[in-house]
Amino acid sequence: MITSTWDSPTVYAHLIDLQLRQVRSRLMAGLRRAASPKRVIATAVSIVCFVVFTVGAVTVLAEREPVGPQQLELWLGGSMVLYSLYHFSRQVWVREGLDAELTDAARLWIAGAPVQRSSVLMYPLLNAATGAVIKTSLLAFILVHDVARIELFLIAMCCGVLLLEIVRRVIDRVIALLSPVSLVLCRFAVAIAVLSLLITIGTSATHSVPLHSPTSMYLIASLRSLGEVASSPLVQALATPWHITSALATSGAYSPMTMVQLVGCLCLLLLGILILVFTDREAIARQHRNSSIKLLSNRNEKKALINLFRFDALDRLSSYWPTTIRLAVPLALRQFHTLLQHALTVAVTLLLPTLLSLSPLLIDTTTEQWLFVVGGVTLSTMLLAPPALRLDFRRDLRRMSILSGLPLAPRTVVIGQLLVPVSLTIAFQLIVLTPAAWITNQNVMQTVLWMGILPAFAVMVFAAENAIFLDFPHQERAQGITMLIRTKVIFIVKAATLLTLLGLLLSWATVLRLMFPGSLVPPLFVFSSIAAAAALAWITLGWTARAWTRFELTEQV
Amino acid sequence: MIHVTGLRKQYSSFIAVDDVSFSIQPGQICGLVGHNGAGKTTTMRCLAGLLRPDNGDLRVAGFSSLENPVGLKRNVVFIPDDPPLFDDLRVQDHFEFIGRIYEVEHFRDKAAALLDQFGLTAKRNDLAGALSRGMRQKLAICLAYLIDPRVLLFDEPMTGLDPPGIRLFLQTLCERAALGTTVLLSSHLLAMIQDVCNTIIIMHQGQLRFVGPVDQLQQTFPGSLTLEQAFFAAIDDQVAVDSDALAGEAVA
Repeated sequence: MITSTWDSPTVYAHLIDLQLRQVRSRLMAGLRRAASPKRVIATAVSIVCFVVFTVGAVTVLAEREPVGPQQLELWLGGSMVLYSLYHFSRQVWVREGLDAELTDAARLWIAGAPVQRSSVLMYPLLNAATGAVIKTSLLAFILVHDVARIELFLIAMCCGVLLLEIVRRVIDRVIALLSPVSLVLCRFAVAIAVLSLLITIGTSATHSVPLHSPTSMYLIASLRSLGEVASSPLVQALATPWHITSALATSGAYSPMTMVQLVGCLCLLLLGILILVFTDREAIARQHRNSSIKLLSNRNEKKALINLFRFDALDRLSSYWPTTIRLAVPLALRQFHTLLQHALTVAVTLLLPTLLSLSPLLIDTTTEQWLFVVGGVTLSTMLLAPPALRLDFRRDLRRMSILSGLPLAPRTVVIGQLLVPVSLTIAFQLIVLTPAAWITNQNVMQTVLWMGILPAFAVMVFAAENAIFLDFPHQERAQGITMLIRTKVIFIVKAATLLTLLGLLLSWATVLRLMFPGSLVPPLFVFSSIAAAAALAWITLGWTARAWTRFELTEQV
Repeated sequence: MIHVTGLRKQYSSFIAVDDVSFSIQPGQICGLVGHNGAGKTTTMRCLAGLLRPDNGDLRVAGFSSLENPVGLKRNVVFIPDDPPLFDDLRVQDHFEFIGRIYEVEHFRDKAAALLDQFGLTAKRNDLAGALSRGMRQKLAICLAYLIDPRVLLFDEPMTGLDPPGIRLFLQTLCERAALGTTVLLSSHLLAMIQDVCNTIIIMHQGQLRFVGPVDQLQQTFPGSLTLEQAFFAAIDDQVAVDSDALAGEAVA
């Protein structure tokens, strides 16, 4: 018996109801946690930071020159294509499973329920729809001065973002359909496309700015070039699916065309869903065919286990370390094994900040090169490394009971959990700073200063990120308004911390200059600053250890 | 009710289930036993329509997992070991969702009765993520009973349950079997299997070693004085070779 592809509307109504219940439940849990007396300080700081962010954003945005509707239309469509390209280039390397975004519960109770596969695909899409509404609202907040009809913008962009989510999932299925040979060719083609894009942006940026300009000018020019690329004919041709949504988002007044565009947006979404269901069916069939072929050729030989990494030397070495560190090593090794499984993804993720941080070396203003490289490394450490390297408490929410049962001091657990991501970040810092110091002929004190302070800063960043997570935990793939607010608040806290630390460094340098003769100031400044940074890092680790001590799984999640 | 012919399933290059065939009749409680990694869970996941078999024919309540997966899923419920739940949903929300998606008639009344029977009424407003291991297990069992399918598949269902919980679970299982529900129960508790099940399937390294009535197992391996000894004899490669012909007869 051949079954149909679609379920009755009631099934979708039940899935929507499930989503709404989950959203409500998460909101209530978030509010309960925020209102807890244990977190009164954290909640108060979060509220203050969010208000600062909102007021700041409104003040800055109000002074900006509005963008013309035609330009905005091109950018909106082009940016969707650029994001799709980013996702395609990532997925072609990572190649996650088709149902990677489904939770275990959804895999059992929804995929196991008497519903069509199309309904199983719709469930994460409904979740994405919630995200689309939030993203669109945020975008509307930024572009409120640039659009004439904000309500049309909201509807159109919500459809556009949702279409992007569908395209993203179609891309996953298309990649799953590729044969091993096609996959290699595809990786090659995507690498060339991304490289060409980066070269285009870089060339355009360097040509549009006079030689020897400050690096900030190059950065602004790069953003402008990115906008130009998004508006280019090739990208616009690829952005055809978003032409209707972009046109509706930027329309100046209501007209018969508005209704056509609205219907067009809905038709696009329906077409996207149809294509998604079709590609999903093909991808599953391909996987089944591949598996059957493999079964025929499988002799089921048991391969000898290859021990790729031996840690005998590490075991010998660690016997000399302090107990706190030595006992943390097994925890770190566990994280290291996970890292090996995701080595390629991590390498690709770290490649971008490395290139970005090294990019100031391409300009000819040697006085600023070092400063901007250090700035790039600092910002990457603060903003890019924590979300990219989640090999710490944030990945272990489901294993917290095991961790808390270990006979280890809280600080040891924290060190063990953070050792791998912090070490990777420090490795990234050294990989960038070493050639930069050599190329820019930095003096020893400058090099020692930043190579000493930035690793401590990495410890601080990861320790703080994990302390906040332990106080306000969330699921690994959590989305929604709570996550959005959380991201913004954490950004504000990080920016404020960074500015405070820089202010403290400058003040300390001034104090030293006033107190000591000139020749003594550099070494005193360098070593005292490193010592202070290390002390701060140790204090932040203590904060995380305290958060870990207070962590109670049943209460938190 | 369950008919499996030549089931094969592999993960990457590892064959988890290799040419397994068996049948279970309506109203039977069948114990599925074997070492860890024997292929029990994979078999159950294929039966539940959660995994697509690489080869073989699989029919549950007359529905083929390949030709009509939706029909199959309407008639079978699989509760895995440590069943995943929607941690951000309340207990009663689970009943709401499952009752609706499976189109269970009068599901609220049934849910109230099940909550009461399994001592979960006081927990109905709690988040699933805040429940203890045993409570989660009870909730999953209640959800399976709410659906009231023709085939129930349980993978290590007693894990985490307290003694009264175990007694209640086994009692309700027998009641449902008496009403015609087919039950496939994976467990390592051989004494319980002997008490509750009327049929037993033994798997070893992805292959079927025995299928038939529990009392016939000891006859197949005459040297065995207990079910445990018979089980070890069945998974012993040397003994199994000698008894293959007998096991084949049992399948037929």
